[in-house]
Amino acid sequence: MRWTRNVACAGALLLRATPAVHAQEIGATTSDSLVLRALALEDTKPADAAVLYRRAFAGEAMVPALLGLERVYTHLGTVDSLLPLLRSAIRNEPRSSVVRTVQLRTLTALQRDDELTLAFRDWVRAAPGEAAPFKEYARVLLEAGRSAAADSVLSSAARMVRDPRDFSAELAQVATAQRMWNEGARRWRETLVQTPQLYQAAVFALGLAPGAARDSVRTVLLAPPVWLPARRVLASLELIWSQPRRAWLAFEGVPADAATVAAWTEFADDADARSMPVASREAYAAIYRQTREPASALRAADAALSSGEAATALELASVAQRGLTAPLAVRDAVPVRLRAMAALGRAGDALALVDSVRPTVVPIQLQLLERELMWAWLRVGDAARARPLVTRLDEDEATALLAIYDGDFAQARVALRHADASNTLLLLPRALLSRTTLPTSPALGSAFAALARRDTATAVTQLLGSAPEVGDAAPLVLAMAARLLTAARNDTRALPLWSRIVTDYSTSPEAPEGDLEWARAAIRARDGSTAITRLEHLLLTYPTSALAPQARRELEAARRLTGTS
Amino acid sequence: MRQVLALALLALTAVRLSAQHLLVPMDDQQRNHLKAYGLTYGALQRSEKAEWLLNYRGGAFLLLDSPATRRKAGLDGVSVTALDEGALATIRTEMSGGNFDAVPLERAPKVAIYSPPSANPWDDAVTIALDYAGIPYTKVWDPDVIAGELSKYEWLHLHHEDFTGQYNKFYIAYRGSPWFIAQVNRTVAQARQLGFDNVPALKKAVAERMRQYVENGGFLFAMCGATETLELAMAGMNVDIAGSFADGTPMDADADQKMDWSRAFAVQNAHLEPSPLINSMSDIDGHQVNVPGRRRALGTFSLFAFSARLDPVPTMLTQDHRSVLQDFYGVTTSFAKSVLKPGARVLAYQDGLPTAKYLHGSFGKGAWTYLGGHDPEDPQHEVGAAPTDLSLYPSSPGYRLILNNVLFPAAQKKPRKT
Repeated sequence: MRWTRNVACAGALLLRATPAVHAQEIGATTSDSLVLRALALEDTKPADAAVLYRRAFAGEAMVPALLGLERVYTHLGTVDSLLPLLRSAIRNEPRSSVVRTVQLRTLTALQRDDELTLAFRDWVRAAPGEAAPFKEYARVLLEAGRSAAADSVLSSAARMVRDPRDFSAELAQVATAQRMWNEGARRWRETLVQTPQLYQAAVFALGLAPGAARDSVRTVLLAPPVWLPARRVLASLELIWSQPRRAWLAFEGVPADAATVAAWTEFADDADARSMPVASREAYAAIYRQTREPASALRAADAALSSGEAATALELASVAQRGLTAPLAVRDAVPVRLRAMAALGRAGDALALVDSVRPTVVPIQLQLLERELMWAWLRVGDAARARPLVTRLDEDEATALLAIYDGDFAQARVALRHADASNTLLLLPRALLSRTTLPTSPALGSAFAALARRDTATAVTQLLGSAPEVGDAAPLVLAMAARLLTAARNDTRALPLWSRIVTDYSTSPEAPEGDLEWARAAIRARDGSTAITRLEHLLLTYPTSALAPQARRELEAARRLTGTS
Repeated sequence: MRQVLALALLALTAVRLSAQHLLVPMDDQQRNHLKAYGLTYGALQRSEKAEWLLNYRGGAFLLLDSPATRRKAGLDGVSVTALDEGALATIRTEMSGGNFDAVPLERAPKVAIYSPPSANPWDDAVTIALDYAGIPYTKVWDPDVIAGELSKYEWLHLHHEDFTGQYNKFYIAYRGSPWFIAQVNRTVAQARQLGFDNVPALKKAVAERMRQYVENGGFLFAMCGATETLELAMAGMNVDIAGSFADGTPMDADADQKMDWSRAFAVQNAHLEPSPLINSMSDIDGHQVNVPGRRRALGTFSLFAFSARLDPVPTMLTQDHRSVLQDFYGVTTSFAKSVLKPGARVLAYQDGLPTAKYLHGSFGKGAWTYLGGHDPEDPQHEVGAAPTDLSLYPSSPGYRLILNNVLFPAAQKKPRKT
């Protein structure tokens, strides 16, 4: 009675709610239409869907109905309701791998291990010599985390089926599930010979190998003969393991044919999506060398810029430009070349490039190019040349940086309120402005401009001259000067600055760095005892400093140097 | 709110001013577990009182709050908490109600490491651990052992040595390697210099001295292949158990029957590997890493828990902030339970396998401990691999097991109550 009522309710509901489903039923059998209606109800009315599936199960759509019931009963938490239906289905189709697999999954979900074993054995009897029972049972066991049991099943299967090679994928999965990484890699390599489409499964399984086991995986996949599918798996694994340089090297020695280029393209896109420009740059450049498509050279140039290799980017973008029509070159290649020139500090060349295309571009394109040119001038600290562009383009970050160069800190603060916080050119100015209330400082401004021009001598002079006027930011300004002198290996001038930071500004954020650099200078002067004193001072005075782990390492090294413990 | 804050600050200041002890937690609050052992060892060297709070916060140490200890803790990055008498009393009350005990640590044990004078193309996990923790040790080698120098030390560590004198059967894979040829030449010359006919005879004599050392009250800790080969050398003292490569004659065909297992510490009724071409010594090792057909995959191993009051020694040896650890291979990785003597206590077992990872027992007046495997942080460690940099693993639970053994001889002796 309850069943009848449910069906009636479901039918009434369907008549109102699913006209689209009715439209699909044209030409379908009654059972098929029941399945289609049930499908439409699965997510919203699983109980009603179950009723329809059961009706379909009794008709001609047994298999789709059974699969549907598996889904909705799982949703409803009544998986055990499947068991009588499965018994009936198996009586009708004892060799159906779909039905048998649902049975294995159901018994696993219900944790009826004994019945699971019996069901598997029954299937083996019903389908002698077939691989399916073993494969599915092993897969169910693997999903349940019982890899050793899966291994036993597959081992016995190898003796009982017609073609033991049928199990290579499952054996590979078992090996990796059991953390036998070398064996797993070998088996996956064998599996890919028969079923290259399992590439993703191999990557997924081997990607879990811990650091210590990865070399053995590499050895297997790199072993001769050089074979693209194995190298492709390794390249993807290296990306997962955050080894972009090694990732590209995995393709070394693979003949560059069409299949290889397709693999490179997929790899390059993957590396790009994972923000690993070192790998994508190499791959796109290789693709360009094979295909001569300017688009690949441009993507390589973009990746080179992201990986900090502006010279390579400029070369690639120039190559790409030569292969493009003039309008496309201006649209796609010139901006990349400009960015590369800006990063290289070649603002003059950037200006020449913009001038060369100026007559051929529309105003909106020119604005984009001038933006790159503006940053080129700002990067080299040429405030005079940048100023008209900054005024015209009115960008917060550029305005802020120009104000810094002018020493107009008040205006810089205003511009920085809306500026992009990730702009690396503004990191140091932001740090400075957060520690001083000074409204103007032409000396500090010119120090920043000199830094941009890579004129470190002027920068140091200006920084030291302005330190007394910047209040709380004095240790930062001194540290900036000291870093420049240290980088120039001028310990004679740097050391007094570091020691002044440690002694006069002992509570400043720069003090631990002062101790560390003081110690390093002492090591360079072969004065191990001073180095030890400074490093110990750092560790005991600033135990929570981010530099403490590094200081500990250097302390151990200094002790080894001096023979103390 | 301000009053509460002020009171809290006052209380904190009071604790700092009147602190008399430093608690060195060894649970997940500790930033550098391995250096904490060195901190404790240093306190003992300065004759300061120390206690090992078994099972309390991962096996914490209680030290005197001295300037030297505070300074070393700061330099080494070891987390410490200052305690006054009241706070300590609270801890002791807490400990009185559970599976805890406080073991006084009396003195810094004198440590010897049995290690060749030349560098081998593998590393010694114990040397690495002691160097990193800052615990001093003296290296001893065959001439020192034969000359009776072991009695000067309370703690002796063996690592990787093959006491059957067969060079770990490395001749199978490395006979052409310069380092192996040099090792053979050096060891043969050493044996002759010390009056022995061949290397197996020398190594057996060394094993016998070590056996006597333990019998007379010494503590011996062995890892990797030293565990298995020491057992074989002791039991095979009067049997030719070495292949012709090592001593010019093949192994005695009846060697298995002639072994005197009563002389061994941990093992009985094991079977020797008769083939000189199979890189295995016996069936003691359950993992057989160098025999492809027998090699067992690595899993995890679990530490047993013991009663701190009734079984303080095994409890000390198993203090750790993890109870399930990643397993690691060695020339000998594990010990088949089927060949263990009843007196060999299993401290850790490999999950799901008929093998033990970590064993302890007493012999005469002394004690021995065996830990299978080579390097806890390099599970597949191979000949020639780079040494482990422990600054990358300052909280290594596997290396803690090694350091537990260093401090264990420092404990005031307490007879086992079970």
